[in-house]
Amino acid sequence: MMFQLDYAGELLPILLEASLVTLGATLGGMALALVLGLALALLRRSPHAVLRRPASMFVEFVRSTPLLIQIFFIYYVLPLYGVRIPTVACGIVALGLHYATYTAEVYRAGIEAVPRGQWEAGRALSLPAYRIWRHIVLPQALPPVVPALGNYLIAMFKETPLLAVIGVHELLGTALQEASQTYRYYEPLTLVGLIFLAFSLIAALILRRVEVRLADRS
Amino acid sequence: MPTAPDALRFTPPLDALKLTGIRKTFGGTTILSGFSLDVPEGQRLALIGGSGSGKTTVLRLIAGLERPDAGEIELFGRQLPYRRFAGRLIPDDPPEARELRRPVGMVFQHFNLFQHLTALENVIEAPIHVLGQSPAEARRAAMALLDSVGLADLADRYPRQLSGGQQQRVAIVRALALKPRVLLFDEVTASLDPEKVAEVLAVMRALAADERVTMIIVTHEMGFAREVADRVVFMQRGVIVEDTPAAAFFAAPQDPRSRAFLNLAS
Amino acid sequence: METLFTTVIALVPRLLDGAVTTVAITLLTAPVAALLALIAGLARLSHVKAVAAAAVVYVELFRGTSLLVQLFFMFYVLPLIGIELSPWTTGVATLALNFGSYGSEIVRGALLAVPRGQIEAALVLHMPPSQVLRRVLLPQALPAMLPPFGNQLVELVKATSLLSLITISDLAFVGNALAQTTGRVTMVYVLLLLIYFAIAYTLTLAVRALERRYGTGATVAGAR
Repeated sequence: MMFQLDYAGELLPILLEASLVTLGATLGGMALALVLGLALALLRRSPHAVLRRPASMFVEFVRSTPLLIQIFFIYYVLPLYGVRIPTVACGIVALGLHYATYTAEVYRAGIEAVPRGQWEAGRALSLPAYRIWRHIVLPQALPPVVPALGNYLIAMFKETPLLAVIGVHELLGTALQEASQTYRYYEPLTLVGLIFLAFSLIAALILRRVEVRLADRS
Repeated sequence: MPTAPDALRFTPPLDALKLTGIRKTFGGTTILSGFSLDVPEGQRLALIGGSGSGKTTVLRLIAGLERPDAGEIELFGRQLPYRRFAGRLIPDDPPEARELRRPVGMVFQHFNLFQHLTALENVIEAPIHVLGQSPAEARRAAMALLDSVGLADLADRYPRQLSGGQQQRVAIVRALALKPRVLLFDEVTASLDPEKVAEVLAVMRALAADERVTMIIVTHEMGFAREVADRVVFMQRGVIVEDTPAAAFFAAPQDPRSRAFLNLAS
Repeated sequence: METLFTTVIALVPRLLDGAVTTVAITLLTAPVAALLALIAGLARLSHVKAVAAAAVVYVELFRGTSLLVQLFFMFYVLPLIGIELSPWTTGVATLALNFGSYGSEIVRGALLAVPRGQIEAALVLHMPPSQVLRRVLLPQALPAMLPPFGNQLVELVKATSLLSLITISDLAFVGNALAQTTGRVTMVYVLLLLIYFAIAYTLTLAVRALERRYGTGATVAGAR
């Protein structure tokens, strides 16, 4: 079976449009993961076990179970309890929740790398905990972990095809739909692979740039 | 081909080592350009000079840890082949180069004992796996050598359980276990606590008494160089500034740069 | 009347059948992936430029595209170009190739993290490269590889769920089918998550025990 360039040429605009959905889901999921992950990281450092324990258990549990099942769970189970959100939003929530447990670990590493003395200095000035976090610890903890967060952005991007299983028309879903109409899988799936490869390589280059920038600053 | 026993064979004075026209640059910085050096067998050569003079690079070239950009290295009259690009992880020279380098041993500034092996295992590793000695034979020889440097009791310790001076003595024994004819010492006392320097120098002094072994010693210990070396080569910026018998060098260095260096060092 | 208890009793045995498949896929894939990781990790450091380049292409190809896309490509496209593999072979091979590419970075990183002086010491003892690798580098690099390989194993368990999408009746496949046929949607998905968690967490604990036993790169075996 030959790779038909004509057909590939027809597909390309359709797939590139679908890649906007992929990118949108990635950015939405990442935004959620960044915020929720920070919340989880802070909760896990709380002095109150009531906050710390559930946060830790949530992280362990979500990290140890497949994203695919989590997507099904959010898509099929939540509506039964009256939570009705659009399909794409289901996907974004699933991605965001799943990756929040990874970003939480990244934040934790960043926070733990801030020397104890910084905390002690803040307390010696009798600053409230909120101000120590906001103005002393986090500004030092976050910049070094930007590359690690960037890696998870790329990882999440590569997991967006899973959203096809609940009918999100991102890259893979669109490609499979096209393929089911023409019974040709070769061109659509190859193109999807190439588009992912292109995006990943670009993202990796940008990330390397950011790393160099950060290294220069410190 | 039948050969006469060593004692009966006439051997003309042979250069253990001959470097000719060596050029070596690191990332645009020229370390050596047109460097040449002959070392007769049995000589104790002290290679001295400030940091960045290229003396360590000379040792590393001889040991095969660096490749020259140009020039030749001969060991006992045989030229050493090398590969230009030798891999990113383990530098890989042609097998015949490894064979020809067999008589060369080297001791490092930072000891470089294998961290996952005990002192004894460090010493017997190469005799067993490179020379093919039996474990029992290698062990016996290694214990005798360790005993000679006062470390038989510590044979089963791991490197991190030993002091710097003890590690360096194990490292010397590890090199000796292969019965080298040329020994390279790269600032072997430079990273030791001052009170540990003497124990390592004592071992080297005993070695120097064996006239058959050619020694090239890169060192900052001028007193030791004066005592042990019979020739001094003083280098600066990759060039030999002075090359004289040791006694002459320490009594009256000819070049103003060597004089300045000696004044600073003493 | 059907109670919660009887529902669980009815569902669990069938889910466990799927779980056995999931564990089997994991245990089958992990050694192949580890081997690929070792080969590719070493190949990237080879002095034969073609070998190093081939390894880079393999690693970037599988790291740069998505696992699910790879799976569908192998499943739908390979038969079209004359390569007929069973879904099981396709699934395990794709998983192994994908995880091997990530693992190769772990191998490479751990090998490069062994101090340069260790290699130099081996070279001046005239060890050939294969021996330097086997007797000096790998014994020191392996402990450092354990924790990241442990994480990869948990990721692998999770990733096996994608094989349900190419008709393999693993835990995810059985679960989805039961959710549709029984209508017990909430119950089935909660059980699914719990069983996956149990498998992954057991592996996590096993790896942690292994790490304690063989130490990390920082504290090599035997040193206190």
